[in-house]
Amino acid sequence: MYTTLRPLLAVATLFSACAESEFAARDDANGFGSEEPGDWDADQDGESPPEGEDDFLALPPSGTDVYVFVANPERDTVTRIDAFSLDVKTVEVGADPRLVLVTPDYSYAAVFNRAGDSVSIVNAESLEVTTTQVRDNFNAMRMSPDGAWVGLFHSEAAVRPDDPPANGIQSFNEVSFVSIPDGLHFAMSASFNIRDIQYSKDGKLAVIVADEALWLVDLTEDFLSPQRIDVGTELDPPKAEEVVLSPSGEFAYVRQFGASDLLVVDLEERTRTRIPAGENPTDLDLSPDGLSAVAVARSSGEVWIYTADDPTVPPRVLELPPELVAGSVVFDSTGDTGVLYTTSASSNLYAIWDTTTDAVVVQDLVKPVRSMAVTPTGESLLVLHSQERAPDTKPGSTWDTDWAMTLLSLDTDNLRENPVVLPAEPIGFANSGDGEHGYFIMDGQPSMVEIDYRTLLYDEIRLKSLPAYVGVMPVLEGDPDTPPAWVSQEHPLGRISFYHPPEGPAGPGEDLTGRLETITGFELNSKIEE
Amino acid sequence: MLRTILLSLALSGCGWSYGSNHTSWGDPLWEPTRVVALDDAVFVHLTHSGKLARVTQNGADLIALEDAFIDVMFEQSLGDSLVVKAVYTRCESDDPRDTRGVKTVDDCPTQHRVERSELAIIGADGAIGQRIPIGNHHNALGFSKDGRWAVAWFDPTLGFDAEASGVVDLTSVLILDLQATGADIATSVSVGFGADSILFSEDSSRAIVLSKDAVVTIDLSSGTPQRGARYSLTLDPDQSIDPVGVQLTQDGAYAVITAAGQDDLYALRLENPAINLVNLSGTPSAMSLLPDLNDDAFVDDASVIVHANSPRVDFVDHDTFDVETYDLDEGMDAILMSGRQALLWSRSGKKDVYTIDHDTGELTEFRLENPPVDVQLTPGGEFAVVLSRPEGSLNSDLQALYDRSPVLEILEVGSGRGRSASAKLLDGLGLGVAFSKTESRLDVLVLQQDEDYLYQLDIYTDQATEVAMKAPPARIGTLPDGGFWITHEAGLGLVSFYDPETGAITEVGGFAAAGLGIGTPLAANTEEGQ
Repeated sequence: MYTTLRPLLAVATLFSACAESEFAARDDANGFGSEEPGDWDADQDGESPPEGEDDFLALPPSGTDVYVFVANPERDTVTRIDAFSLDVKTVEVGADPRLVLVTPDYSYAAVFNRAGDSVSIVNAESLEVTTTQVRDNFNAMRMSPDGAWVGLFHSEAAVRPDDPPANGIQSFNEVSFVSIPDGLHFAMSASFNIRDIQYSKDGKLAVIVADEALWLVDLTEDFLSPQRIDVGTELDPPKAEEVVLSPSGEFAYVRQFGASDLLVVDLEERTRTRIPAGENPTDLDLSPDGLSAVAVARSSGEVWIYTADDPTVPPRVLELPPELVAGSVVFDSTGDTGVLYTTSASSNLYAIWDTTTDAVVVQDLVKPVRSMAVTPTGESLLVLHSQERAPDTKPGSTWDTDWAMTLLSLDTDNLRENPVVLPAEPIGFANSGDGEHGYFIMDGQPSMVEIDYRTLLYDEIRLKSLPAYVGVMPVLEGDPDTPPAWVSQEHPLGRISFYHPPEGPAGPGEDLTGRLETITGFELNSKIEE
Repeated sequence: MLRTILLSLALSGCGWSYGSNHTSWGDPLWEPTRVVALDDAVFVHLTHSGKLARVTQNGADLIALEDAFIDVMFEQSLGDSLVVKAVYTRCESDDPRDTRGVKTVDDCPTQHRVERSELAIIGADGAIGQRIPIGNHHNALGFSKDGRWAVAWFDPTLGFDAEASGVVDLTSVLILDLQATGADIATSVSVGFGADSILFSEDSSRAIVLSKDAVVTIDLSSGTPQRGARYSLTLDPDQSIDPVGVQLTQDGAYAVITAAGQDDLYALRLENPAINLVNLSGTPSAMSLLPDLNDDAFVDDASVIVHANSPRVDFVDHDTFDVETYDLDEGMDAILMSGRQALLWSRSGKKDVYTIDHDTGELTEFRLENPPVDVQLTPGGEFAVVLSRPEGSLNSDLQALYDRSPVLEILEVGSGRGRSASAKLLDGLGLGVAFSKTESRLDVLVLQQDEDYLYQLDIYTDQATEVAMKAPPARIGTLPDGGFWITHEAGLGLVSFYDPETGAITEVGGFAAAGLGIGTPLAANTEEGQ
């Protein structure tokens, strides 16, 4: 599992479809949220290793349209920074704030306070704070797509070394829902080892994903109460690994550990159906338009495509070329192009899948893949490589290196690539919404790397200190300016930089240098007495 | 012409002690290096008798505050007046026998003395104006640029030997409205412990008070002083931040502060308070303002900062707070500004001098013969005049002559050629310089330690003259009405007035003995004491 622990800051993350955040074990804020493996042990089950899926584009870290919210765990405060004026305001929240999620309309920030076992709801403009107590022992928070609720639970995947020592009574089955903005709290018990909370697209239904059951919570009720749906009839059914909800919220598709089919749960009828999914499905996603559920069967070399809102329609099965090992898929924002790859084998092959024609073009890379991200425009691809060597790489050659990255165009008629050796492990990544720039940071490197997806060239931007998290402000409707990127950095009093990339309709060349603005010591702002 | 006023000395006896807060017999009668020049007069403090002498070319007048002892003459003038701190002493005891026959302060046993203090404003003509009660512990004073406001505070570095009576609040400063009357004159404002520097904004609407670990703003715009924001400079109560330098940006929007041992510049936004730390290339040893000379909307001013421990100079832009750094050969600790050109030099033995034009990026290095003790720019910034000290040499060559002598060196800093215009061996260590400029001449007047002549050098022609004086000099300055004054190391007081065009010198002496032996009368036994 890819993890990096950063002790300093938890930075606001905002997700366009489904906001979620955990502690740094998942590093969601840096775009490297890997599929949580939980306690599943592939070797014990006699299965091949799991795919490490990186849904970069589903989890772009960001602030609001104007602000970035930074939690200051040591001071029990949250700092709001205006990315454009660099105006800084700090408000007190609960004890040890760790996670900050911003509602999709940018009106409120929900802050989970770890030591305080509470959620603070911060009005993004007025900075008024409402704090609500939740149940103990949580470390993960998910926000509904409409921003009306956050659900909190204990995630084993989010446990981190500096968690407060457990003492007293502990439960691993509990969930708290808190309404936004009024802070109403509903606590409930589900079942052991909660892995996730998913929401229907309209935000009216929450699905708590636990090892052996899904728990449905109707968020329109006056009193929230979970309804159980077992993922199997046997006493110890395969544990649910991945769940996606159909856009209508009518069906849940469940991928279970070690299963060669998918469990489809009719959420209205509370019935279960199993549908085939090839041999050893390792990835399950919705297509960007939500019309299809797509499973990648690694062992049988197939992609199974289902009609998401009607699982009775026979699935379309795409046979993959035999030389390709594929266990994961990422789509561009239109869904017209998918990229198939694997993170579990030492294969350095990937394929560009034209979903409109089902044409599959296999390409090779300099090294095996750790994660991939398609840019929002769908024209380019960022590949972060694993530390393994490609099968045909000679020891001691250029690509026998720990860390590398490849920038690719997805134009199969004019395939361009720029593989780059990296000096250290990438620990964070973010794409700008306009698809023109990407940014990543590396462990122990006081710099942020800017990627120009049009030219596939990179530029290294020196920072004042080591980076912790990186993100990009959202693209504003009607605003032609390229949004700035932000990168928080290690500093005892807090440091964040905003990078404004080169401007101009002609792109790079009109103004060759971007502008970096740094705010240091913003935690001191919490002590200003006015 | 020598005019000496001889004042009779009425000494009551040898070994006589003048009082607890006053000088004792054997101490100097006056302070020849502490001078305030107003119009055609020079005011000096008669430290022994607790009075002032107003010295003009026509003689000296004694200025006494009735039954008060003038404890401090503040060197900052109000343009047309100066300010002194006067101490009134009463002798009080429950037992009438303790105060029987007591007529002067010295007659009163120390334990029965009760003191109170006032500020008194003295006009250029010697007339005593407004008197404002202050605390006995107030020993430092600052004035706003418009002369309306004064701030009195306790600066521990200046020492304190006045008799404290009652509770002494060392955490407050006293804001004085010099245009107000009655109870509205003085307002005490709490600023925290150890106020050690106060700065007024250009428009006198705000005061900035630096104290230990914090900075406090005082809003003066309403006419009633009100405490504004308080900025903590550290979050760690165990850490002490000692602000050492402060300046306001030209638009008054920010106060920029350097702190001892810190390689950060604190940028405090005054409206909508916020703090940002700007990382510098070393620990600051001196800071100056690079002025914005254009009357446009763009912010062009900057802080110029040198570092004794780092051979660099930083220019901190006051708009973006970006830092531009120039490399030097040696670390500097002093800055002189001439327009937008900065001259850097060192008080700690380094022999480099630099000029930097930040607009063109042109850096010019000069190398002095000896280590400088003082550097002054001529009017217009055409030349820098350097007084340097001997550094010792065992050789017998030409360089050794320089090394063994104090040197007057003229640097042609306006040309950008980086050369020394001339270097003169002095008889004594340079004490100070003043300049006289006409259309055809640029004279530098040089005082030398223990040398009873004034050295006058026309920089344009390199022609020098020596003007004999009655005694070795202490300090030189310019009279607002024209001409120069020179104080001398003369026990009974001596001030010379010099006209460089005619070469005429007028000496006035003996004034420091005025009032000796009379003793300071006790204050009237009323609260006001007048």
